Amino acid sequence: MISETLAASLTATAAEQEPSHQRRFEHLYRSSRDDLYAYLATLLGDESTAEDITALAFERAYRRRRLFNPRRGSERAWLFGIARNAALDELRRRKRSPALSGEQAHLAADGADTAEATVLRATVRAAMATLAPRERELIALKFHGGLTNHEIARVLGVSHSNAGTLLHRTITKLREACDERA
Amino acid sequence: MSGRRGRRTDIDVTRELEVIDRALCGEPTGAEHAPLVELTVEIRELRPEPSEAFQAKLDARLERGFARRAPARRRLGLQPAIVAASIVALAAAVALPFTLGGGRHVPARRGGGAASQFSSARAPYANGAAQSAPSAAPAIPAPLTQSSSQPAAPGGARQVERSASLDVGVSPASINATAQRVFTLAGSFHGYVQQSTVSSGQGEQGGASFDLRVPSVKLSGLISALADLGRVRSETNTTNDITDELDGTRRALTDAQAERASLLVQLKRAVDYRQAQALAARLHAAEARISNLQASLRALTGRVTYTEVALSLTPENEKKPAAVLSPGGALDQAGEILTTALAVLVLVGSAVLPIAALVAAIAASLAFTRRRARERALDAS
Repeated sequence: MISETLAASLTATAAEQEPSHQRRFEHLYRSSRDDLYAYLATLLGDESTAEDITALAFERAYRRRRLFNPRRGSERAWLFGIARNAALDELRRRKRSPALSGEQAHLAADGADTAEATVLRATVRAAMATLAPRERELIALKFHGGLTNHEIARVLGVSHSNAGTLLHRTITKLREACDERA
Repeated sequence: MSGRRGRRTDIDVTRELEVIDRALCGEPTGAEHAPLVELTVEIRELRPEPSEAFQAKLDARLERGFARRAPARRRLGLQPAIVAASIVALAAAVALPFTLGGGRHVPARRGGGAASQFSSARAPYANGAAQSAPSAAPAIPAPLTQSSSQPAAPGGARQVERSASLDVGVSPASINATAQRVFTLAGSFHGYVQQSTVSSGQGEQGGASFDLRVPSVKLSGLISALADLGRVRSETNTTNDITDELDGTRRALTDAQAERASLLVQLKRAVDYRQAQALAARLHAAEARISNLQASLRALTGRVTYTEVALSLTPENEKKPAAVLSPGGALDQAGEILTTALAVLVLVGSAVLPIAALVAAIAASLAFTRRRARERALDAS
């Protein structure tokens, strides 16, 4: 009798948890879709591949959504970690060199800006191209993925202070590169 | 001094990181940070945006629950399969020696000898009299000893002398009754009791011993019946190939008979009295030798036809019935169960733990290698 009650309770709990998992995943998807794509597009330098890897990352995250452990970081960090692994596997497979993505689209958009803004943007883009891949990834996680420093640390597997130091060093390097080109 | 400078630097780094966070959130910052804010905004402006078509496609996949896609990117699925196959192969390699050896060393059987002996604490007597003794070895699982003095002759015409001994534990109260049953059993298998000793006494002081002779063809049936008298404490089966001895005796008998026939002929032809007396003496000697050889032949044939069985009935106290349950007995039984469970756990652990440790090491190594490869791919990009 007790076991039947316990089994029924567990079944009911599992049934209640599934919509909760689903809702949380949908919220994660809505809040992270564009950020994740932006990060992957910057990392991979290919919009088409970025779309594929974004979809693959969400697919994997959906399959593993019950395995997510909140004590090990935020859901966004967990999702970006999955996406990063998929993207690096893709880089391993294709051996392709990433470059800043959407360059043509940005150049076209620059036409609407002032000449000064266009020059500034081109300068920043050129400065970013001088960064090492790891530094570009940091920029992508922070400025395009919109992750906090805690989340970046979690994705890269480093400490929070180390993530902040790396980020500041990269920004300083980028500023110096911009100053040289200005 | 350097510590203060380092602290100031840390403070600057923290402040600038906060400025970046505020700028990304669109919050106001101080005028002194204008260049950093401008850079932050410009980097943010370079952010790639997904196309509306891709957004719609991904939204539709979310509605469908992100069903698995075509196998274009399923190549990674091979790695878990390879790992699983490796684990299975490893487990098989580890388990194979245990499976084949059974964890116990069994001495290898030597070539079929003329004499052999098998002992067991409890073993069914499976072979008949016509079988050679070594063929019964696989049916006896207990400690195995075997000796040989000469190779067995090919073919099935070997003459084998057999003997067996059996020690059966019976309750002290039933020694006499069991002894009577032994006599009955010997008769029912066309055998007889050659010698018997039955002693009675208190507790385990009594006992009985029997020397039985039974036709070899009935041996297996008799042993089975005797084993049913109680608990078999030990059982020994001995064989001895006497084919050569029999053949030698037969040849000697034939020679002696030929000699007697020749002497008879010579005696009929003898004309001299002395010669006749000498021939008569030789004839008597030949006939005596023939008688002896015939007796030997009968004895040897009897040793093959009949088998000696030494039976001991040993008084043995029966175990207390389990139905009588007392707190002390329950504690004893619980201790036995726990000890057995612990032994099983130790055995399982000794087999599983090394495999688990190896699998964990392989998995960790694979994960480390994969992570290194990913990081190298990023560095090389």
